Amino acid sequence: MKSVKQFLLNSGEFFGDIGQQKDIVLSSRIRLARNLANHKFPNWANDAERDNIAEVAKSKLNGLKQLNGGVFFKISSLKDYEKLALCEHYMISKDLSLSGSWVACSVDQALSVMINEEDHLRIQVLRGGMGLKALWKIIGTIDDDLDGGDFAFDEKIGYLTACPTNIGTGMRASVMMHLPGLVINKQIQYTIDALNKVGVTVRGTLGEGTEAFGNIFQVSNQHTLGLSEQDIIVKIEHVAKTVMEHEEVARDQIFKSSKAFILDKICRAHGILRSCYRVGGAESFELLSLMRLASERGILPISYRNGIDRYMLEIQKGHLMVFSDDAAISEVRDVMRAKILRKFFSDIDISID
Amino acid sequence: MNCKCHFCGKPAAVHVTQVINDSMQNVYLCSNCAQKHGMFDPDSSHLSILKNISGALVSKMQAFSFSPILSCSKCGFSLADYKETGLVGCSACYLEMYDFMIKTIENLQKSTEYLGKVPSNMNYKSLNHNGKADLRESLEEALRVAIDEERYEDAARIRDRLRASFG
Ligand SMILES: [Zn+2]
Ligand SMILES: [Zn+2]
Repeated sequence: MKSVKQFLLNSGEFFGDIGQQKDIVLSSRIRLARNLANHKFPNWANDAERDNIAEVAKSKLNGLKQLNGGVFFKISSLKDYEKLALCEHYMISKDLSLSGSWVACSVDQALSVMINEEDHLRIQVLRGGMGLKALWKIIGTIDDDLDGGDFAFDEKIGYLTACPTNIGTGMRASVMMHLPGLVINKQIQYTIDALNKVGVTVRGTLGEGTEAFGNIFQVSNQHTLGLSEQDIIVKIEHVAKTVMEHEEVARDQIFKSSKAFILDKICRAHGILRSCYRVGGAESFELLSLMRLASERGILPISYRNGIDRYMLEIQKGHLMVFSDDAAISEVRDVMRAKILRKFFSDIDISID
Repeated sequence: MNCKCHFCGKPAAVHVTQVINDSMQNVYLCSNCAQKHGMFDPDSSHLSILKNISGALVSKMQAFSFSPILSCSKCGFSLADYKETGLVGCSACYLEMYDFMIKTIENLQKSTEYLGKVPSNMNYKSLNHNGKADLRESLEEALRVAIDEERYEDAARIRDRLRASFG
């Protein structure tokens, strides 16, 4: 049985890319909620029933070829920091870490299936870059393979879920976007409000709740019924493209009319990353956000962008604690974080004329 | 009358206009629900409706008009439980408490019409259509009729559904 540490160490590529478009877009994700017809939903089932459900779900997943060589983690046998690291890695949700049963993850970390989260099964596929259409093909096949005719489904209202907000397609399609331009220009709230009005949810993704550390936002569909999976994907891709255009405009504007301001910010961030001795999580996200922006403006070599994205995950508390026993202490973590970032940026130079 | 009943979603037969908190609300009821709520006698109608929606938005009306004792015979989950957690107890709850759930879904979702994929597995006994082939045929027929009748919005929706289910 693999440990969480071995599982995280194995991550060769950062989720693997699915789309060409990585400017502004970090990753795309689709999640499907599925339930077994003849069992209570996890919140209403007792422990014995939940165990029963988990056994049925696991036997389904054991036969799934997309999970070949993957790992199962039993949530109740994980340490708190291991659960946290899996959360940070987008493999599980906070809900699952609090009260779920199991998670199955593929070796490439592109697929995870949560058992007894809010629903019996939460299937999720994740890739770098923009690529919801390709992800729908992948997850659609997985869904078909798992369907033994025992899913809770009704022809009139679709897949039945514990919460009516997921009923119908049971699908949440989301794109994770890096929007420093809109944040600096103070247009982000306006953008979020406008998207909310058209059935699109926007949330901060790093850190707790809806706070947006590192200027990273997750854009996803609000409705799951009344539109098809294709409708949802087309809508979210369209919205993401529109937001991208606004972000481009904001960036151009900032680099044109506030050139000294933004270049100074980037150079200082680079300086801190290169020579800090300790740095907190929230501050490092802000610094890395500026480095990602710089890489997309040709100020840093673009080849380092994947590394930047990766460190945004790996310098978080759970990851640090999985990789070192000493990291249980916050001040030690800050020093470790600084060391990792110092090393990474030591041979990355800034080029400005 | 072209509107749906606020309680159950069936075509409405009765229409009441109501002013609540300075805004005008339209309430539609089917003949069945109208009878249930004492609407058949035109004189008592306004009073009983008022009682049901006093101070509340029409969209929240179902909260006042369903008994919290209403429960699912399969899992024992009740409406009172739903109001506490926002989750239901089992998949049968949706059918057992259909009127309430469909109203709730109407408020939360784009519509109550399922337009997503048809499960690849043919074993779904709950399907009204006997498996995929029949569904495809009936959708194709509906598409033809919609085009004939120049209901292009409907036609587009049916076409999307065909694409979603059969590629
Ligand atoms: Zn009715
Ligand atoms: Zn039930």
